[in-house]
Order: sequence, then C-alpha cells, then structure tokens
Amino acid sequence: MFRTEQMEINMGPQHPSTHGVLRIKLRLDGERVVDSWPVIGYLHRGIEKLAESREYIKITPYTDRTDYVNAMSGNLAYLGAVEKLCGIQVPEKAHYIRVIMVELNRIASHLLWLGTHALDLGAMSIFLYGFREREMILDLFEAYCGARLTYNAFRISGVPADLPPGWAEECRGFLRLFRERHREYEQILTKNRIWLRRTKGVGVMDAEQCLALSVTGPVLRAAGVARDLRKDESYAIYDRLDFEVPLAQAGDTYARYEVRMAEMLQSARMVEQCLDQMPAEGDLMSMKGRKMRPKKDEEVYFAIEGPRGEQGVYLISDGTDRPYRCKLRNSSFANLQALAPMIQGELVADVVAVIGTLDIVLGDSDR
Amino acid sequence: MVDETPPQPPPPPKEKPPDPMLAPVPSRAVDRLRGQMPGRVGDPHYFAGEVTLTVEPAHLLEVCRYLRDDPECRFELLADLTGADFPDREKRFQVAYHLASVAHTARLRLKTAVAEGEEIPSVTPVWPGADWFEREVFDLFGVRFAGHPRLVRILMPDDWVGYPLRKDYPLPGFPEQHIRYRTADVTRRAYVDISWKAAGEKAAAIVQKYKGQLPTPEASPHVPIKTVGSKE
Repeated sequence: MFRTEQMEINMGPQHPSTHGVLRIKLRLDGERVVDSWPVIGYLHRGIEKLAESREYIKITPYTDRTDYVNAMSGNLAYLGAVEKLCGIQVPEKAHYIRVIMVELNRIASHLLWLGTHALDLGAMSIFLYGFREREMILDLFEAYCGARLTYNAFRISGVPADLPPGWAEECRGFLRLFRERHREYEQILTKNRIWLRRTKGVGVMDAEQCLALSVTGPVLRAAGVARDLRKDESYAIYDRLDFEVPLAQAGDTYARYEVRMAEMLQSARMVEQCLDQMPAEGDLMSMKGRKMRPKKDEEVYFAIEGPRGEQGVYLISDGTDRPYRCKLRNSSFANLQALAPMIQGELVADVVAVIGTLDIVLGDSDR
Repeated sequence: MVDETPPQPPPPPKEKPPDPMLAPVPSRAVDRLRGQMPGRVGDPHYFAGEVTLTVEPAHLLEVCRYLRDDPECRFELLADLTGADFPDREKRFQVAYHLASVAHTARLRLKTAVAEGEEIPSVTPVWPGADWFEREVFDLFGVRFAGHPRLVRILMPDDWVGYPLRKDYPLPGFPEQHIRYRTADVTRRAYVDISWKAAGEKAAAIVQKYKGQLPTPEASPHVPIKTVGSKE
C-alpha cells in the first residue's frame, strides 16, 4: 500500500540560497510547505551590548557591520540619531555628500539583490551583469573613503572629506552607463517568460498584512502603500530633490522586482540632482574636537529609508559620552517575519524565490 | 565728592529662554487619548520633536487598540519595540513601543515599565508583527510578555543562561558559558583552549559576584523550541 507522510527538513544555515546564515525548519507535504519556523541569531555579535560601553563616535564602525551590503545607510541612521539627540546641525554640503553616498549604496544593494535573486531562480547572466555595475560603485566608494564594504564614511556632524577631484565626473559617467545597463537588465528579465512564471503570484502579501507584520520598504510599497520616509519624514536634503516613489499593487515577487528596479533609476536621478545642486565650497563638519554632552535621561528614535525599509536607531542617553542603550531597528529583522506567512502552502522552490524577494541580510537581522 | 546716585539694584536675572529641544509638538494622538481615555496615559514628554507617553501595563492593550483603530490616530504600524534595563529603579525594565501612522505620517512613543518577575501584556493581538520584537526583548532582557504565542529565545542559543542586555550582565559574558560552548564539541578532539581557560580565571571574580543571581539551566524560564513536527 502507498503511504504518505510529512517530512521535516532543514534549509540552511549553510545553504547558498538563504543569503547568509538563515535556517528555516520546513515541514513538507511532498513539494508543498505545510509549516515553517525561521531560526536566526547565527550572526548575533551583540553589537547593542558593545555599543553601551563605547563612546558615541566609536559606534559608527559597528553600524557598518550590521547591514554590510549597505553600510552607508547604517552610518547615516546612527549618526542621524546622535545628531538629533545632541541637537547638532549638519552643514549643507555634508548633507549632499551623505545623500550621494547613500543613494549610490542603495543602487549597489539593489544590484546585489537583483543578481543573487535572479541567480537563485536560474538566471546566471544577470548575476554577472549586476556585479559588474556594483563593482563600479564600489570603486567610487573606494576613491572617496578607501573602503569597499564597511565604509565608516561619515562623522558626527558631517563628513570627513570633500569629494576627491574628478569624482563627480566619474560618478556622472557611471550613472549614464548605468541607465543603459538598466535597460539591459529589463530586456533580460521583465518580459522573460521563465522569470514571469517564477515570480508572478509567488509570495503574495497584501498591504494590510504587511503593516500588521511591521514590514516596510519595497515589500510594503509593492503592496500599494506609498510609505517612503524620504518623502514622509524628509530628512537631510531630500525635500530639495525631485523624485518619485515607485509603487506596485500586486504584492507578489514580480511586483517587488518592479518596485526595486524603478527605485534604482530614481536613486540615479537623485545622485545627479545632488551633484548639480551641491555647493562647491562649504563646511564639511560643524563640530570639531568637542566632547559629546547629550541631555541626561532623554531618548530619541531616528529612522531613514534604507534599501530594505525603515532603518531606525533608538538611543537612550544618561548624560555621559556613551549611550545608555543603543537599539538598532534594522529592517531585515522585521521583514523576515513575513517569510513564514509568505511560504505557507507554496512549493519548496518558491521558498528560494521568497527569501530572495525579501532581500534580507542576516548581519542586519542578527546584529 | 560723594557719589549721590543710589546703588543700582542688580538687574533682574535674565529668564532662560526655553530649550528648543524640549518644545512641545502638536500631536493629535495625545489630544485624542487625553480626551477619550482620561487617566490611562501620563503627561506627554517632548524631546527633539518626539512625543513620549507613559502607560501602565494594565492599560497597555486598551490604549494600543485605541491608537490603532481611532481614525484620528491610526497607528497601524508598530515600527519598533524594545527594552532597556534600569537596575536602580523600582520598576527595572522599561519597554518602549515606537508607533507609526502611515495614514497621518505621525509617530508616537509609548513607554511602560515593569519590575523583575512581572509580566507585560503582549501586543501581538494588536500588531502581529510584535511577535519577534517581544521575543527579542525576552531573549535579551528576560521580560515576560503575557499572551505571546510562543515566547522563546530568538538571537541567543536556545539553552543560553542569563539575559545579555541586562546591566548586571558582564560584557565578556559568564566564563562558565564560554567553557560550555567552547568545549561542547572540541573536547572530543582532545583540544584544550588555553586562552579561554585563562580568560575564565580572570573573569572568575565577576562570576562570584553574580553567582547567586545566575539562574541554573533547569530553573531558567526558557522554553525549549519544539522542533517542527516533533512527535508529541
């Protein structure tokens, strides 16, 4: 007689398509996922505990190491919180340099997502193309701050250095090239029948569910909710830039692909505007060599729109030069909660698609 | 010649201008809450353009539901939930809820505090996304959330003893645990990690200090993770 039984398998933590050390306990009925339980924490380094014993300025390099494919946003979110706590004004020119770096990093992060996500679903060439352009952004970063992955490029109250000579032209050249290459990616994927079959209707999550599960960023915008902190709580100089917030309605993997692809072009637009508007001369740091004295027993929460969603930092001060508590609210942690409901009842092969489409970084979720 | 001008009274002390960081900001949620639910929340505190309200754990769920559903507030997104440890306070653990309203683009921070051993009602019935955030606070601070669907550790190993983000938890951790996690599989390879042994001796003083407060693995309130599909 034939007998069927459910099978439990572990996916990860050592698995190429889990994008890091994510482990999912899956219970399968044949090819269908009956139940799942994501296990995280394999990359937990206790950054929040370490932050409590270090001066404010010494915590910035740790924020690089949370979301390591997008270290500029980590820096900006943390420094924004410190500046809010101490009431520090940032010079205009420093704001422009910060926004240029953060938006370039958003393109780099989305390119890494595009390459690995498509590779997981069987498209090899887009992976090579995406990394080719990401490499050019990393070269730009290296020319600015000397690092290619963990930048530590900003300082409290500004940035340490002006753009090097010729950097702006290099960057404009890259952006022109990137627009052409972006069309190539679209030609490979957007109407590709295999890509459509693998992504349309997979991992659907509607707006209400996203909000209930604290999911933010492109995943939320692909479900039709126009929440972008760059518009809603305009920080830095985003209110001077002309850009759109890409939206999609379907809430599936393909919609999230569309949103992220459109976001890359918007970021390129923003960088160009920043290069045009940026004053040629100006201060880079407003505070030099002064001791940090935040108010005692006060707290702030500052959030920016990272490539993965709301990236917030919550600081409690005790009046000393070290934070009493430093909480990093990283979007991968919250967005990973959407994984289990998204893969419920789907095929095992689609679990890979859903992990890719959530665009998680485990260093970001585990801290 | 005698100076006949009477002595001038000292000029009145200049009034300190109010600190712009502490300036109140308009908040519809505060007005609504204080009008509709008097006595449920404390006085608002303003700092750097943020609004903080304190609420007793007993009223937490009621207030949260109101804030989510009231059309004037509509805090449909729980942006963050986290804890902090103040060992000197009577109610040691502070839990902060960062609410965000997408409809009105507003933010609000709710704060509550509990003593060790007390429970806070879980807000998972209001925002299901609080699930992992509450697990994290439980994992790192040992705060219990009543009504949470499955309150188990999330970042630390399942059998970890102690709560790392408490202020009385030493930064290098407890040496017993180093040894335990270091030797669990390496002893089989007849490998003795000398540097960790030295570190363990060095930190022995810290352990002595916290010895009485350290829960044993048996007494630790952690619930072992049910493996998916385990035969129970």
